[in-house]
Amino acid sequence: MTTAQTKNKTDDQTKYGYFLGCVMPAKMPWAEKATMLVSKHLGLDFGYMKETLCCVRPGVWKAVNPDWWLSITAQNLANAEKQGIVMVDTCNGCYVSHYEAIQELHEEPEKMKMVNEHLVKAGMDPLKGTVRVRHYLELLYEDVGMKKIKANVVNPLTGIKIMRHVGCHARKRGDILPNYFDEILKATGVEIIDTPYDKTCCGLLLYFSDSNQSILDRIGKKMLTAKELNVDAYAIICSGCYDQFDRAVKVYKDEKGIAFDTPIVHFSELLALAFGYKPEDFGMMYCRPIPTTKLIDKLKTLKEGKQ
Amino acid sequence: MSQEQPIKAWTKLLEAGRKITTHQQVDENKFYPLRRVFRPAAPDIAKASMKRDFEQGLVYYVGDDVENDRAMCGLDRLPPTARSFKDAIDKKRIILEDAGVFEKTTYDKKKGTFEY
Amino acid sequence: MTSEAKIQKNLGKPIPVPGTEEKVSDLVIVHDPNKCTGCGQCMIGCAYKHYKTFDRKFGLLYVNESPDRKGFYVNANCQHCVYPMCLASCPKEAIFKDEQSIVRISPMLCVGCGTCNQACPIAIPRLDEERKIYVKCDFCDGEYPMCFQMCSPGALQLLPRKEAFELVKKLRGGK
Repeated sequence: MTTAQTKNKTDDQTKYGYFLGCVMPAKMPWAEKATMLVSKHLGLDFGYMKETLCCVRPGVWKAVNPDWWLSITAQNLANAEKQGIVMVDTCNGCYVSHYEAIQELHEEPEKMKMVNEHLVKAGMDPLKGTVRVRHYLELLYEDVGMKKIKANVVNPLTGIKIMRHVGCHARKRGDILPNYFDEILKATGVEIIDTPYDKTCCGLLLYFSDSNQSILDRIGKKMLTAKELNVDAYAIICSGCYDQFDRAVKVYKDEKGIAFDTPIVHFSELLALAFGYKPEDFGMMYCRPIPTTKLIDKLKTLKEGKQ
Repeated sequence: MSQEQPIKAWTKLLEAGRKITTHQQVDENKFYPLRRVFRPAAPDIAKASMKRDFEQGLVYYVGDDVENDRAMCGLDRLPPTARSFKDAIDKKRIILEDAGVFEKTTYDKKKGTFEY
Repeated sequence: MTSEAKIQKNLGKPIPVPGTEEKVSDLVIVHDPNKCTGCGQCMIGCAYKHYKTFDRKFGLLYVNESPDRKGFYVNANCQHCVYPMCLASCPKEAIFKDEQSIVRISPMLCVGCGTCNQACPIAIPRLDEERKIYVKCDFCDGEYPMCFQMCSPGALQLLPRKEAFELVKKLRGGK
């Protein structure tokens, strides 16, 4: 899309605010950059949401005290409302936390009142409840549309075999988000390999509870399957899950002596590559526990082969 | 049930949580053997993450090395999170205080430690 | 919506107990293994609610990987049976069914013999190591159950007994 077209469209388009969360800015700068590149490429009015704090992981905080969870999450929601944006989450955990919080606040006016009292005390505007929370996959599938995404694919990643990990929280609304994820991956031209451990949780939620089960029984089995099948990459959505992948790679290397060689990539990176961006454009080769050199080399040879 | 040792990274996290606890129940019970051990509202394993959340607003810290990585990937050195907006953390702390989180988790915001 | 209102919404009409003129209006938690990802949030939520720890071993429901099928997770949770075997077996009469149709173990009467565990078809009551008594699911005292609230993939469902039975029948392939 040309810049002129984009400018004309911005007036009636909603403004999206990208909620980063904890892991994304600290551990996955490449995914953050790729997401920004993809969104700009598709002509979305996409910017950062400012003053973001931890979404407050519902897995921990909701069990501890639902009222605390609502109060702390409300600060992010109130910020988004004040900035006049639609909140966009790429992390499933953040998405569920915000999505459930706003739903619960709508259902229970008493809780809304309580939350607003806290917000006013902190010098913030009370929450009206008009803020919308959306997942990045929803944005791509519903607002941009598969037609436009497919039309933008100039460099299909044919011949790249990937395994995919959806994550538990993305299944909150049934099969909607997992289906979007599959469709978007297929549009990039990659070959998806199905395994019995596709559905399995990454184990992050179990980490506080039982480290052995969390690392060895959940993520370890997934990564060992990827190693066995010799896939080119492991595509993920959620930055919370990435945190667990990152941890598992280190644990297996230090304590088990097993080195994994399947790079973990964010789906926005695959999209960016398919849209014709080079790996250097979003720093695909930096700060990763598993280097992406093999994948980048394969992409290069595939491209040369096509030409 | 298997008697496997927990992984080292997890044990470190647990020890970090114990380190920021003022009253070590295990040690104190040597002097008061009849006192019943109770479980505080904040489990030891979660304390380190909770402390980071309370102090920085985020669970992961963006330090110099991360800033360099961010610059390499073509991003601003500082993310537009609470790392750049310090007053967001102050507001968060007021909410935490007001909601009674500090009180119930026995967190001392000046010392940065948990009582239990 | 308060948790009571939420429960009422799920509850629907009372269901007749087969063979009697009694009617029960109780809810049960059913697990759909096709949706379960084995994340263990239900166990962690339960463990924190009852024991203030994140250790899943303290939970009162159990999710494990199926021994016959990779990446398939099965669960065992108390169904609060209409005619509980544990209640019938207890030599101390410590197990009772309260007015909300929740099957409970009285901690004052329980001596920790473990007969309930042996009698239960899915061995739900477990030994509480600290108190040396047997404990089991108390349906979060009739509130909105924590395990159900925590389940993100929607594997745990809160259904009236009859609908739950239909679902389990469907999951088993009509048997």
